[in-house]
Amino acid sequence: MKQGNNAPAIRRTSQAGHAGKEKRMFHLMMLPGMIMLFLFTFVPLFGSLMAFQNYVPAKGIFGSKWVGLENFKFIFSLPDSRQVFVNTLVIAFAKLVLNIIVPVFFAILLNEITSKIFKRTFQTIVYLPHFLSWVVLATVVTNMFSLTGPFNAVISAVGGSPIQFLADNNWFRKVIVATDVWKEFGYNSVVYLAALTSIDLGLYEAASIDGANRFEQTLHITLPSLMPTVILMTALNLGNILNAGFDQVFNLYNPIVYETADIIDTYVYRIGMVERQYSIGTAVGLLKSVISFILIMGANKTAKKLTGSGIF
Amino acid sequence: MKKRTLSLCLAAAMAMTAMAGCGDSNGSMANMSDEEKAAWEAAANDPYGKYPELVTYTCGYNLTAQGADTLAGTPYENDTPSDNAYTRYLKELLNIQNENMFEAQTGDDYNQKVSMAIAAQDIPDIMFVNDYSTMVELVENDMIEDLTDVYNNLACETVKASYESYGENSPLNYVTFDGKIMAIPKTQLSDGQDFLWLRKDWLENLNLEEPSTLDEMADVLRAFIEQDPDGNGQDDTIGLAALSTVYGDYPNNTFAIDNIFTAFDAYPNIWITDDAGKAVYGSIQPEMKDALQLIADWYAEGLIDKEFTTRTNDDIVALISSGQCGAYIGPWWSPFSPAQTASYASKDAEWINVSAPVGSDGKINAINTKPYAGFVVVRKGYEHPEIAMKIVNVNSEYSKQDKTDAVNEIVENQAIAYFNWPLYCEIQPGNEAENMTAHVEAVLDGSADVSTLNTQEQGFYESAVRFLEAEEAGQKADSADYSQYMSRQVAIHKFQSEPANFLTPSYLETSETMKTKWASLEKLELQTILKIIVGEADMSSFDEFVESWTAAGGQTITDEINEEISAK
Repeated sequence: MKQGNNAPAIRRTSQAGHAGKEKRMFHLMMLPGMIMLFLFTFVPLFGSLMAFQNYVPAKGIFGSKWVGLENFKFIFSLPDSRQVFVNTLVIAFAKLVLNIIVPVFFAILLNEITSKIFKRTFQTIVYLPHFLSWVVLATVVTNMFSLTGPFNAVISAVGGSPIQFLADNNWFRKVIVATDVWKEFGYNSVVYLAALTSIDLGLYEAASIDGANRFEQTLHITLPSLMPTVILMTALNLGNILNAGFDQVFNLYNPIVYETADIIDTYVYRIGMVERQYSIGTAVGLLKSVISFILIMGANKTAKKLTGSGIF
Repeated sequence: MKKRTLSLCLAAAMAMTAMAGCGDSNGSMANMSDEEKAAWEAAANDPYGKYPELVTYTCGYNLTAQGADTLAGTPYENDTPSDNAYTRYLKELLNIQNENMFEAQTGDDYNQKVSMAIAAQDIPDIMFVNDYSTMVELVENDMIEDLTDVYNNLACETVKASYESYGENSPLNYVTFDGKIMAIPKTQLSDGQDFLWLRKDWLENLNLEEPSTLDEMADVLRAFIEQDPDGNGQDDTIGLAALSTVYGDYPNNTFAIDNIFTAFDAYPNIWITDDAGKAVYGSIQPEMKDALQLIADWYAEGLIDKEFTTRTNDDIVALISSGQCGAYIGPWWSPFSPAQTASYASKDAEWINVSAPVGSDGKINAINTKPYAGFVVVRKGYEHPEIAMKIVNVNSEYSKQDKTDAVNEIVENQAIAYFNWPLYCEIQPGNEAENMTAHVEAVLDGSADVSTLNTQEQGFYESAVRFLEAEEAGQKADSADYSQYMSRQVAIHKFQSEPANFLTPSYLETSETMKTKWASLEKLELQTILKIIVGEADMSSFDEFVESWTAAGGQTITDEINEEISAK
């Protein structure tokens, strides 16, 4: 929308003779950024060639043997590739859905609070875990879910038998998703809080005159108004569907839950640990990028169709 | 037009440099008189021969974590990696000077520089490489010089004797390709056997004997969890600590419980030689079953930490230092771990290393580790390959016996923690740690004089004296002295007094198929082993594991390794 308004304005100024120089200045200012982008984003793309080679560092990209799609075939021939792929999708999908539902719900609830101090304090507290790395939080989570931790204390208190959450294939994924949502919902709700403030208050006034109660107002005004933002965020996050969160899983998993916990990234990491497998690592990375690209494009198109606005 | 001029210029420049290069080396030899030639040759064929003129060699330089700034304010503050006490010593002695092609902190940083130099096909004249695979890569790409003659003609006695001390597991075996010695291997001191470390004060509180067999060990662990060994009236102690990967990926992992397996003659995670002389994988042998059964029973009873699968190394250290756990398996240097130092300082814990669990002949079954810890290689075509050997001679022998001021300066300089060796390679006998313990012991019991100790041993001796004095006075010793005394004088002492059986793995490296398939085989193995231990799967799943392991690439790898061994 904004772009549409600005475009003619720019065209007009550029028509004037002196503005051309100004534009050049702007381009010059952009240049360092463009060079950086080129050096660190486009040049490394060249390294993707490794995915089609049996790359040996001593021989370099030009000297290494070309193997065609051999590396990709190898990835799919691995006995665990199916399991690892499914784990990744399940964990990432659950995170994707819950990381939208919970923050939206939270944002709406928070928006209903009138005390400014309470609202701000609460917002700050739920933000906090977002800024801690999983390396640190993993210790906290491990202790919380251990046999002597608070969760098992509650279970014992009500007469249940203790559960080793992180060493149990029935529980591991649930813990992973729940802790991720706990860590991120505060931060993720910022976008929705912003969207909420832009809703026209007149709508609520009109609704209350028509006799709608608080809940009905939320259902018929707040949620539909949030919809474009929700769809936009979903589309953006779809690109991450193959990223189930390496640092989280890596810091919390153990061999006994490999069958439900092992994701693409942790698996590739272990392959790489045994011997520097540059080609296979690159092939997996390239594969993930291609799938993410398709998903983002698809999601963008769908979003445009549904709401009339996309990301690009 | 422009392009062509440019390329012409470049070609001309290249031709010039190439000619200049030729002219230099040919010229220097051609212009020499016979006398001069003889002097150069004599220097090249003497282990400590000094060259008639300064020889400059390029190398890769290992820096320590401390860096040069620790020298600030000392007489050595102007030292650099190419001009310091040690390089001046080498210059004085051999008339050689290093020029560092790269300098990097030893470890990953350094290894990365080496990889980059190899990728650029431009390696230093003399270089230290850490990995076996990198060395093999250099051999296969024909980038390094054959050092057979250099070694045979120039290696000093200490170097030769040190390699021989490894017996059939000589480090030289690993650098010999088609009968040619392609590198000088740095030696790795033997790690000895792992021990069962127990809280001595807990044993005394409960009137328990030091265990030896598996049954006795189980009794001690049972008492540790049931009889409140710390006497605080609470049921808060756990049994044996264990690594979440059970046996770890290498012998001598602290907290790994390898010794329980080896007591059953099971050798998980290494390649062993079977009765037919073939290399086989230890983890799939039938002996594993008995060991696993026992460990599963112990786990069910709580003798092994119930939560070991989810504990990180730090978690285990915290359990031990907070006094919740008083039993683990670890190597002789365990007293250096914060697990012991913290519990010694804050919990009045006393630790003891016990030879348990023992195998059928009453001894611990242990595994020999790699005899090498890196390699010195020389660039193919370098004029003075013998310099590498000469520097190693100086590192390992000459400088140790030399009592001049120059050497004192080096030692003093090294004590300030600035690493000054241009070539990070000293060659020592495999049992050097034991020898040092014996030397210090002799001084402690009065049968030898302090002056017989070298500088390193003197440090150990002083620590031991401080520790013993503090204990005598009923005080806590400094934790550094505690670690030094407990590991060097108490733990290593048992290498001699309670010797172990040592098995030499048949293969220590990574074969071609292992590079790609090992991660999934390892996953299969760990999953099965852990499930059997925690009781999620029964013993029949072990046979299934062996079958699928063999089918999923294990057989290919086994064949490959046997081929590689027979080709040597």
